[in-house]
Amino acid sequence: MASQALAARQRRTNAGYVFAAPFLLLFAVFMAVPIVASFVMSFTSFGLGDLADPFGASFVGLANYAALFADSTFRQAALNTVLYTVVGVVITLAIGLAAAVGVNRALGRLRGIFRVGYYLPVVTSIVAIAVIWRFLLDPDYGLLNDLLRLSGLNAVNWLGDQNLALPTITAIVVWRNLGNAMVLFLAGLQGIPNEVYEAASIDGAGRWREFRSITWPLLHATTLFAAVMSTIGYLQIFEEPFVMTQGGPLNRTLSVSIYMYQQGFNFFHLGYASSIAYTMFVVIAAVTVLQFRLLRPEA
Amino acid sequence: MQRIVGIARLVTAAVLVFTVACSSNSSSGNSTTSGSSSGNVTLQVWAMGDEGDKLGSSDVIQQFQQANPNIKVNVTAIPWNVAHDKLITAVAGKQTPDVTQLGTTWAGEFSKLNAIDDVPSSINKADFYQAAIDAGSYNGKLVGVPWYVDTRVLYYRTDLAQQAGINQAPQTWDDLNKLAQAYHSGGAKYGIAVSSNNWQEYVPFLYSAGGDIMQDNKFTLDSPAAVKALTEYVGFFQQNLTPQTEPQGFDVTQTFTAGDTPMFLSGPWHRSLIDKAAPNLEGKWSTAMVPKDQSSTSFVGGAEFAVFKNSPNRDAAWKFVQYMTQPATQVAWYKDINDLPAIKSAWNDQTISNDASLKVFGDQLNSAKAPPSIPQWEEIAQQMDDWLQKACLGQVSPQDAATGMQQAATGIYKP
Repeated sequence: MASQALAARQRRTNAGYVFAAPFLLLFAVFMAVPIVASFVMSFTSFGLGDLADPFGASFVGLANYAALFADSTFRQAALNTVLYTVVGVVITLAIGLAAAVGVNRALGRLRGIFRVGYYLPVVTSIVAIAVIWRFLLDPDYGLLNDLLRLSGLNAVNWLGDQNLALPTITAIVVWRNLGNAMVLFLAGLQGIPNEVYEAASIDGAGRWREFRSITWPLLHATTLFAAVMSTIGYLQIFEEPFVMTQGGPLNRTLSVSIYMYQQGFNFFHLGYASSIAYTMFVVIAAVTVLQFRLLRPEA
Repeated sequence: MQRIVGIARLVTAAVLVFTVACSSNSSSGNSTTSGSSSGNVTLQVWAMGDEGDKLGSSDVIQQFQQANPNIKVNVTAIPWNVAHDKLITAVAGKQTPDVTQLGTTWAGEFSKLNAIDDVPSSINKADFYQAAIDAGSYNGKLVGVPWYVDTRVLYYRTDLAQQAGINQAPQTWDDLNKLAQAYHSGGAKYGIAVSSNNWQEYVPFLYSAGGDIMQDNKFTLDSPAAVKALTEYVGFFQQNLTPQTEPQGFDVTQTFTAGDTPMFLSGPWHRSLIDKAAPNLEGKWSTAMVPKDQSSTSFVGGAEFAVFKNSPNRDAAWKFVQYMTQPATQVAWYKDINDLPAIKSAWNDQTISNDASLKVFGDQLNSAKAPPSIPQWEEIAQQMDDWLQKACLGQVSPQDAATGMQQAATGIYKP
């Protein structure tokens, strides 16, 4: 009896492994192996010449990481990425929350229109968006500058000015990511029972008081989630600056991801690029842990 | 999850390269089954950009196949912007075609990968423009056979120049600056369009000032001639005679035909672009040799053919390359797509010698120079672009930019 049950259980477990196998295999080949391999690679001088003989690459210990911290272009890219992230996340969350509260209040058909309007950029191809914005922002022939000139103002070199390029791109990325944050907050808002607001209004609470004492605390979990997700997204910012400025002018819009791509695939310094990838991984992991610590609701 | 995906972007690609390279090491010896020089052969040819689009269906290929019934040519078109990466990946994975088109600055890199077959002695270096041979050689050995050449010359608006009272092409740097100012004060938005971050537009100034990128295997990017060239170049920015920075996708054809930038330095491809964009401008613009300081010396570009070492069809591949560099083929190809012949004698053909507008390019090619053929060129070029831009935007002096270029290049270069 006992051995029969054991055999049956064994069969069930086998079936489980069979079902899981396709995913595990793909995960191993396309995720686990590359993650380990690039970790190893980050301690080698793997470069163009080693493509012919991958095992000929020499180990250099922490030299790639040391070079990274001495690399002024990397420092510029890191600074830019911090700027993209801090400014981007705060504005995205603030406007996303405001939009969600507004859309939640709006009645009937209007609500649908706003919801679609905010969310549409999220589901549009980033490259298409970036190309269109590049046209709109063209200093000589762009629509935006045409409008400025029509209203008697000076044209602005949006993507060419070294001090304006990063804010311009940040604004576009915020506009694109807004929908995501808004949808998250909307879901959070709809999870707050109406009775709480009714009770508050009976107690004589105004709109602002309602927001501060009910909406904001009850949205805590949503805010944490939205903050973590968008921070991770901004830290990896790549497509918009890559398509619009290629990191220029003077590397003022260069992000860490773009720099990693350049090092890896333009110059084939795969060892160095791997060390950038791992530095980024550690930073993102650390920031995420920190966010959980700081924003966790006091239980 | 998302961050794992992000990191995996790089590592997946890296490891694919890695594993493919390992796995095919063992089997590289037995890939000769797909054909030999006696049987029927299908040649895989990779070509880029315009050439890639048109080569496959061209008369040139038809005639080659008629003359060699046992050889079939299969052209794969590859966009220029991914061509370099695709070729490197192909080499790593040993999935190379038989013949490929190469950019003129890539010869060093690919021969260092030990991927390219030696050019047979039946191809005579003396038939080609010297600069094109220089570009295709690595350590003195020819690896890429020049297919077509181009060189940058000065495009300028004759109608607007006449309005400003100037009736001849600028001969010297002084003339160039005066004409730019004349255009500008005559109402044009700018006087000239030079790029703040494109070394290819800077080097004609460097060469013409008597400087060079490299001499005797040492960089000379901070020579007095280089500082002089940079000062002249940056001058256009200081005097507001050129757009400060142009975003990605800036189209000089558009600003040239609109009269906003009545001068720029570019290659022969711009002739048809301007004709197409503004047919009504015919006769209102012209080309001239690069204005001179010590000399009028421009930059040579174009493309080469290379045959891969591990191709099982090397004989047929070299036959193809040899055919493509015959003077008659070069002329026929010029008629097809306006690519300038790399073979000097092809320029004696009436189709080309009777075209007065080509004379400028022919003359310029006689003295044009190629950038050094070294494996790390792409990286050095990016450093040159960066320092050039710093100088053009006024962040550093031309002297400091020259020093910066020199130090960066010296640090990157490993012979």
